[in-house]
Amino acid sequence: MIKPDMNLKVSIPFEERFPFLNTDILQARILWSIRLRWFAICGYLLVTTAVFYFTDININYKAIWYLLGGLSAVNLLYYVVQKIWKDYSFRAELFMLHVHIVFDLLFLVVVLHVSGGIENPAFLFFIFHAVLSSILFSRLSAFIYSLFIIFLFSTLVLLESNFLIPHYLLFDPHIYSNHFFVLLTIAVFGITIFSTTYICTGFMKIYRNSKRIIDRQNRRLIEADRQKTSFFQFASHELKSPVIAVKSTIDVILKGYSGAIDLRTVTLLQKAGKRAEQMLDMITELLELTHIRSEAVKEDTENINMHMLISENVHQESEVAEQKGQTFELNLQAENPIIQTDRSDMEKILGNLIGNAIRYGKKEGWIRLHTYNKNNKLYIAVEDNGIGIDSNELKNIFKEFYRSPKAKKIVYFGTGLGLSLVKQLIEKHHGNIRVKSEEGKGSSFEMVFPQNGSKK
Amino acid sequence: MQTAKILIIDDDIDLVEVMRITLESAGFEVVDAQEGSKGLEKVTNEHPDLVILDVMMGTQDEGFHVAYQLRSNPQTADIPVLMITAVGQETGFVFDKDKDLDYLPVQEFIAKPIDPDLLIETVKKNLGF
Repeated sequence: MIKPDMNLKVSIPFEERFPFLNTDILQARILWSIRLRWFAICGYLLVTTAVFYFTDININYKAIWYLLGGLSAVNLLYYVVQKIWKDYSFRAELFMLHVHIVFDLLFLVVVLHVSGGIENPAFLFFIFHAVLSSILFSRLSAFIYSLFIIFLFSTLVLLESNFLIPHYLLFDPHIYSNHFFVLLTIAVFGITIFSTTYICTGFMKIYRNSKRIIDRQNRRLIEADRQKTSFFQFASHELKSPVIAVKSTIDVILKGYSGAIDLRTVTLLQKAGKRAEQMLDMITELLELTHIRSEAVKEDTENINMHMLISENVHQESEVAEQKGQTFELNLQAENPIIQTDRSDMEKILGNLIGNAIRYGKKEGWIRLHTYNKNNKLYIAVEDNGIGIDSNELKNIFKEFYRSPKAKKIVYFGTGLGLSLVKQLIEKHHGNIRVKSEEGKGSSFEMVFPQNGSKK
Repeated sequence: MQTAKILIIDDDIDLVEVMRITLESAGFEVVDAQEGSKGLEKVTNEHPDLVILDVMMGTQDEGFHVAYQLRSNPQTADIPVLMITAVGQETGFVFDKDKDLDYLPVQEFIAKPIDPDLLIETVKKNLGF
């Protein structure tokens, strides 16, 4: 039962509060922070070694190097943990980042202490932690971190200035114990850290909100696309049966089964039959198109020799091509024409492209099929010297239902779905298709498929 | 001319009409049923020599169930069944006679829209005429 006084406050799910982050990103960030730490350790080591050899500054080198050694060990531990413990949850990874930052801060404050305290401008490094925590964590956590940073820094410099802990002298024996200077530095440092956090978290709030909106819109778009597909599927199915009945009826009358008909009626019925057929083609292609969309690649693919398939297809189409006086030129150069794929999909692709080449090819023209291998991929090109495609229309030819005005003149009946289907089928098998064409000179459709299990 | 009784099980009455005209003009006797269960009844009552069966009637695969029942009954198991199906069914699978015959022993698949000449030819072939 739903209680009427349920808590109506909309709360954002934990992970959605960090729309820029996911476990992969966090994982990458953690590895990145480990790398960065190596650089920081090496840099600090180099600088202090140089200072040790070339100056007479008397800071606690031994302590610094031990600390750096300790930090290296911890960093190595982080690395090992990250590599071994693969299945991080989002929360666990965020927690790891908290651990990193807290330990880094503690290390930094101790290193700062043994390398000159307030005299060493290395305390500016704390700003990195303020920025990082503002980006990664919630606003509240980021401010807690800035407070923690200010607390650590003030404790250190106040303890030193009051001689409660030793001070390792860098430059001036008066400066670290000058209360005015110490307070001023703490104040400026505190303001800097707070402002940094304030600015960064402010920006992050805007970014996170817009990302949330984009994500939501994106989900809506995907859903809308899915609905469009299922609507198409439903509509095509419902449209199909009546058209089939119409076409079957016309055929029976035309063939004289229902009695004799005059020539004029025959001509008219033939036209009607053609149109019904056109509609049926359209519906069938639409169904196929929507079907590809809602379907992943089938698992039962087989090794297909594309040269064989091309030859078979050319053979099938040769009669139609001969009627137009067209000749096929096979330039099958690929040494490895095998791809692991779905036979009927490939037949549809080749059938469509070769069919188009014949349809829109010149009388007495040629249709060239060219294959070659490159970078573990199979390239197949279907070229013709036919009407070609206007450069303005090239971008449209793969769109559903698009037919160029010129194509319409040549072949009145057409669904405008063929190339769209070809493209989707090719993409379903991780391939790609490119078209080059010059109006009046011909077209070249080149597809590329990955081979030997290499994707893309 | 040899004659035979043919049962058409299909829920599209216009399509049934078209097939009836075609088959009757070729001298066959035609009976029909608009749904699977009625069709099975008619098989026992009318003793057809051949059954023409639509795959999709009430449900996407009603025709299949009818075919199974015909096959599992020893009295009807030998009646040849022609299954009519729209090309590229919306279920997505394209029927392949060679593959599907193992678990669905129908004699032949005929694609919609129906070509009358082909229909008569297929019917005659399966009746051994």
